[in-house]
Amino acid sequence: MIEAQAITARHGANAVVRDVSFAVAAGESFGIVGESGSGKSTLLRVIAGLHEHWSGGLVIDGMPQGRRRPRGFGRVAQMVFQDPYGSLHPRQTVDRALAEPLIVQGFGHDRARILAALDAVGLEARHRFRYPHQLSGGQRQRVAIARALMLEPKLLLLDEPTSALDAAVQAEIVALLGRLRAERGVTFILVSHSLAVVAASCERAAVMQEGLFVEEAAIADLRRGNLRDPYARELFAASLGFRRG
Amino acid sequence: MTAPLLDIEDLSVRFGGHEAVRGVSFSMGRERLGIVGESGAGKSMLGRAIMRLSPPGAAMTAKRLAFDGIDLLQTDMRGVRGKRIGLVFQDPRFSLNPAMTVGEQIEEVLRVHRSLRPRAARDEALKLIGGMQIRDPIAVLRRYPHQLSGGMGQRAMIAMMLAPNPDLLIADEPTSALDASVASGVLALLDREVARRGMAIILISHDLDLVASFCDRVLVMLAGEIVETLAASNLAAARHPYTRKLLSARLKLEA
Repeated sequence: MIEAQAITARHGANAVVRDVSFAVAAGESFGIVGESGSGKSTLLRVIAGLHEHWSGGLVIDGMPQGRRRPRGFGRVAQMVFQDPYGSLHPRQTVDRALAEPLIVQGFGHDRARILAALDAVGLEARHRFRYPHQLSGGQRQRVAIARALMLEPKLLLLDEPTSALDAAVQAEIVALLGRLRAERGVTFILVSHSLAVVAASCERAAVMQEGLFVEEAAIADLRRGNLRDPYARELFAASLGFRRG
Repeated sequence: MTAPLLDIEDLSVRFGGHEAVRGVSFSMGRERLGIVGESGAGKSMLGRAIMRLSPPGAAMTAKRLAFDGIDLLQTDMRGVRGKRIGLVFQDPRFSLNPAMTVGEQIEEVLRVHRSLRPRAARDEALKLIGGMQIRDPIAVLRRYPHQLSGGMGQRAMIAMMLAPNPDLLIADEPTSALDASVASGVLALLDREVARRGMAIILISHDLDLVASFCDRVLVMLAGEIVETLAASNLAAARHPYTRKLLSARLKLEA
């Protein structure tokens, strides 16, 4: 589904992603875990076409990608951001937010598809004409996920999709994403600072530090802390939570 | 039995018609008490109410709010707030004074609450920040809050709150804004200081695992009320459906 070859991305003179290569098969869920400033979000934005200052090779769904994404790319890949409050228009209803991608791609304002999308993410018809501020954080993230799925993309780019949510809601969204992936066979690239979220959502993950992939591991190895890179091991130990002594 | 350090009976915080904290009662000694609940459960409001720091428009009522024998409903809080009870918030960049260096802020606390002279305050500030496991404490003292990383800011905040040697520290999501590797260091630091000083701590968080691993006892809050009190070592004993839901919702790294 995606092949990245030696991707380097810069903010000004600063290389924040350095020579990163990886491949994700169709239907696979690939996690990228790292801490603030590791470059994980920039890498995701390069893939989404939201960050132009990069070099390297990038093939998505068989198509080599340049600086700009081609017309119709919205039907190939969609992105879900950390804070749905920031990514949903505050003065647009849920209905409008979900209709927008359909209208842009020339499908028109399709009521049935909007209701089906709400249902798929566990929302009801009564949520359709609410504004973002009238929804809880978890409901807003459900709307953002529904919007990302409106065009039935093959690839979903998830940037810290649960980090702004309470623990219990976090688990609900992780479960929702898992169900949607199983039902639709969408490919996931999930970026998170949380090893637990990546472990619960992915089959394979890379640990990123200072712009580099320092380790790639199967989730079973990640869960056991079966890692060789010192930083990846440190991150694993810190993720086990507070231990006295 | 000795009198509790903090004794609260029927405490409520109202905003107009909305009751953010509803008839909360608990007492604690020099222990580690956790308060867990999701956003809007009223846990932060409760923490602030203990300090008599409810926001404008909020009305706090209680049958009893006593700290070490002092009736907090009757005192003007001078000599208690910041001196005997410290408060650490989630993001130090918002709770530190942006126009003062870290050193100036800690020295001010030492002059006001411990009546130290400027020279002694400077020496003590360096000692305090030096105990926060910071690589270059002298440089940190000279920095302004916006020049600090999240973890460094929180260490500076903790140093400042510990400066008056408080009996109780209220830490409201102290590590939620930090990366895991930084958070574990800050928690270890808090843990060590609480033990060394024999003080009490209230740790407020939405993270049940965090609270349970750090504290002796956990209060579970839902919609302004304490719905359950649990020994941290025995979360499995939880009976309230909300606590059970929190327990089942935990994303565990280990298989």
